[in-house]
Amino acid sequence: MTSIGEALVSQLVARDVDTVFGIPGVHTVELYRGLASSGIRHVTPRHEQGAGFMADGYARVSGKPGVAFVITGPGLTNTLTAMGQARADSVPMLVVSGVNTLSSLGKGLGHLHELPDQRAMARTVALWSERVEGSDDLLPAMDRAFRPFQSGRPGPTHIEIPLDIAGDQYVETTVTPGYLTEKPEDMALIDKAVSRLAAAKTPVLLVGGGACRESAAIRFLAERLDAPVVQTVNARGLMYGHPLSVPASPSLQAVRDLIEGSDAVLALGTELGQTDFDMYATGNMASMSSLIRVDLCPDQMRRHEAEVAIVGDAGVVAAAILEALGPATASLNGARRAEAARRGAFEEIGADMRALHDILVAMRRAVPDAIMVGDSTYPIYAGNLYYDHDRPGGWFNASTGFGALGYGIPAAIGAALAAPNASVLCISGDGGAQFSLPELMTAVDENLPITFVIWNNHGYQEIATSMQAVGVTVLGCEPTPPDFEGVARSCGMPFWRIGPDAAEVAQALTAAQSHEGPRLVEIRAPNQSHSS
Amino acid sequence: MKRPLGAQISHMLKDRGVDVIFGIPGVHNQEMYRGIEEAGIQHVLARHEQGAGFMADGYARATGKPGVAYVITGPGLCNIMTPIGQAYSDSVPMLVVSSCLDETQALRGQLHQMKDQCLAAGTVADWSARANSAEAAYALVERAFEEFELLRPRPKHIQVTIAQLQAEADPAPFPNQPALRTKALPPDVSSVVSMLNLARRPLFILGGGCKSNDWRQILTQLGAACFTTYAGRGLPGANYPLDFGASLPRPGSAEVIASADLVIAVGAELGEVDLWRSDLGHSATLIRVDLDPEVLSDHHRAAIKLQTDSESFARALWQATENLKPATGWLSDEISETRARWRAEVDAERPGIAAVADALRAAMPADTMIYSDMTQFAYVAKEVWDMAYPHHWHHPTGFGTLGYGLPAGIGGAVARRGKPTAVIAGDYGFHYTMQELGVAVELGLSLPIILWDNGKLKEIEDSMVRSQIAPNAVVAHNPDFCKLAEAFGARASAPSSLAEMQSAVRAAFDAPVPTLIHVTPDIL
Repeated sequence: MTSIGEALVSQLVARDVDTVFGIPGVHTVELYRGLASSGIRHVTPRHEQGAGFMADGYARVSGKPGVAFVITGPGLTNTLTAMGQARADSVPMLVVSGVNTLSSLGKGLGHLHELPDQRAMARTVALWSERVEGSDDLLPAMDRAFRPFQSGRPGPTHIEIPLDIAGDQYVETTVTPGYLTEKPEDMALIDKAVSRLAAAKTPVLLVGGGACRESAAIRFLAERLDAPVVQTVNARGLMYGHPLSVPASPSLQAVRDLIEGSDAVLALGTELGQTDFDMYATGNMASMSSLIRVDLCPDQMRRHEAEVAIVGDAGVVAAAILEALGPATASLNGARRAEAARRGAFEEIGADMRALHDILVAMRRAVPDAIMVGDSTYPIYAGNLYYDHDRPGGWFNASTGFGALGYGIPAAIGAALAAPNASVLCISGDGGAQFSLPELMTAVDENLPITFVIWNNHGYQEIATSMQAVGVTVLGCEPTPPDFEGVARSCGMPFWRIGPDAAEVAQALTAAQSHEGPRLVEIRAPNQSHSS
Repeated sequence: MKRPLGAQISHMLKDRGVDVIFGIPGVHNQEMYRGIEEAGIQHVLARHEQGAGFMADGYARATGKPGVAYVITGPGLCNIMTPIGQAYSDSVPMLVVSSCLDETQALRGQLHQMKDQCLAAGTVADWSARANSAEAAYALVERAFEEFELLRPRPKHIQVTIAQLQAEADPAPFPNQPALRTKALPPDVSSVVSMLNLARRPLFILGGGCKSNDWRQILTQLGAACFTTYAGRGLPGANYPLDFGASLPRPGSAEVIASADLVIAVGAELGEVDLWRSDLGHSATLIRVDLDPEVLSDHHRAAIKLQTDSESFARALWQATENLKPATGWLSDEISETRARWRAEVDAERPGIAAVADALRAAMPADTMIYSDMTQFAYVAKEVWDMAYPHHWHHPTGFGTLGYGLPAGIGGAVARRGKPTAVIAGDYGFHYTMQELGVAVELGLSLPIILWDNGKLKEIEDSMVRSQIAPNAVVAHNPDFCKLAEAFGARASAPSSLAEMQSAVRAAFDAPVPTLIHVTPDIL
């Protein structure tokens, strides 16, 4: 007999899922019945929030949905923050949870792990949430859960299986999964975009996370248009070292000047969201005189005025535009415009941020082609403002969008599992690291070659600075960090402690790389909030 | 005087008796932080909002006062939803105040933005509401405190827009003197008394809703036997001769309950986690006394339902039965025999733990308040460890979340400075929230943390074996817990005998920092 729980696992295998992050419980044992023999790798985090962030990191690197198995109630509430982050950053993620017996739902009987309405809760962060109440529901639910991963804007989805259903016999249904046929892009709109771009004298590309896998298409299009390419945080690494690359935040004035000086702006796969385009909350963003938007999400199109709005995949549309444009005719000083923006932006971020930028560069040189996963911490803020990474899709963090602390450590674990041959660097602050410190042991369990870098400035310095700025007596910003050396030793990890100096960083990271399995590097940074 | 609303809220809470706020500041909620110290409130900085929530829970369970937590928009709120869910299922008064974005429809992709924050909290809290003005914020706080006083206590969530938190506002109106509430009128217990008049074997089931009245006196006066739920442990005090203990989940308890000729359940939900079966097993009349109509209307088919608080009920019952002759149908010898049999059953199910529990109990002062996590140790201790005082053992009963013990214990210890508090956690549960150890060190809490380390999710492994599933994913590598504790500045000890464990526990109550006491099944 095959149980419904086992059938769900078979469905995951059929849909090319090879890794599941989860913590089993009495409510989900049926999901584990088929798991051991399914060939799926199971990774056990130390908290369901870790499971969610690992699935996120895994998805961002592999391009495949990250899958988490969690128990009823607290298992799901623990995963919510990770689902919120995945939604804000359009990351494909499937969370499968248990739920109490079908007959008990909504009655408030005081069952273990009970919630009044689990799906209503999941829906407040997920794109979609569904319950499997019998064999007939399984395939349609799986199809719906995976649909956002195949077409449209990705995000987290949720399936729950009641405790008394998961073990029931699975009766194969004859339903054949219906696949959506991709709607061909609207050629009339593409022609309109092409004629605008062909006539442009100062074109600029704004590229977001929706295009982070389209390195070649974006580069060819940029070169053809001779257009500087401004990359949001989630698009960094697309154009490393390229003369047209502007790896700087569009919140900076120099980058805004570039955009405002453009007579045709092509935005590909970017939400034009506040954490990229107006992170200083000035209430406006660079004005775009002639905006052409390409995005998977129709809802997005209504939120900003655009001259041409094309709903579609950034890579496909970029290729179509490139083909329709034909060969270039004249130079438009793209490289010069890009360089001016880069130079202005770098100047603008100030000496402190430039020093942090230099540390990131030292890391990049010491560990080329790495995946750099970040938490909310100063070096990451600096990099989000200005930093050119050398690997497409190799720079991501949670200080944008939902902005969840504690993302770094588990997301780096997911990334390392998705790309076993890549070097993975995780950069967290001491405050953020403490949010998810227990997950270090998961990296030890899986023997993952991750270098965890902890920027220890002894507290939530960003918050302390912000309190000072508005005249609030600083309170609650100094969580005493643990002795990170002791933490590393207790987990059996090699450890280095260094100062915030580029040369020291390069040396320690190079040394760390030669160790198999996870390692910890603490950078003792000054806490500037103390001095004022 | 006028202040930003964020600051005024802290002053308002102080006026309503709040002394401690647990939380984590962020740019969004910093105006709330402006008022904390100014109002003379202590702030306890957690390492994760989940920790802040459990600390507020532990504080509330220790004091009976609402536990208050301040969190930021979005992830801060999501991170505290598990503790809110726990507080809901265990009827803990908790107030979570968060910041929220001013505008969420026209602007998307803002920092910390989520689909619907207010709705999300509403799926776990008693209610969740948004304040767009100072008046609204004050009204919601007032409502929360009124409900904590009058209704079944449950968590509430109030979110205030950032713009309003920053805006200057007049202070909240000063609280009225405690108003005379109808609740203070004695409930009519005449029907209960007339049933008790006829009963030979009256049986009480006392739940966590019972406050610390002297239930022992009442039970003695009536000659009544009793069971307690997990949350009701200690209500009859230690060694009450007619106490069946917290043994409702024993299959044999149904037989005992069936033999009673009157069953009175007070402040007990009688839910799945209380009984581990759907029916209580009673054949006689069931009387339910509860604040919550939802409980009174459940499937246990009570014949008499009293909607009142347990204190008023206890007082009225005590006065109305002073001249009643105590029932004589229960024999203390039979009850102690039954209990000895049940203890043997427990010991056979999860061998060895009972002996460790006995040793631990002997090493702790009787008024120690214990916070346990989801661990097999706690499941056993519940049935074999009789409590001398009520509301001195707190466990994440209903929602059942791992990681509760340590932060809740910190909340309790903050509330009980100078009195003994202890934590009992399993290795997996401890892992969930171990970073909060840093908080206990910072505060210099003399907190023994007994870590029962069986190296795995043993309860889940047992469940897989029962379901004929090859155990998988239940064993995780553990760090060196003692070194880890020391890295946080705590003390650590790994006793190799029960006597060593006992002296470690005694020393921990006097230590200037928390002590992790690492105990494995090898100790036996």
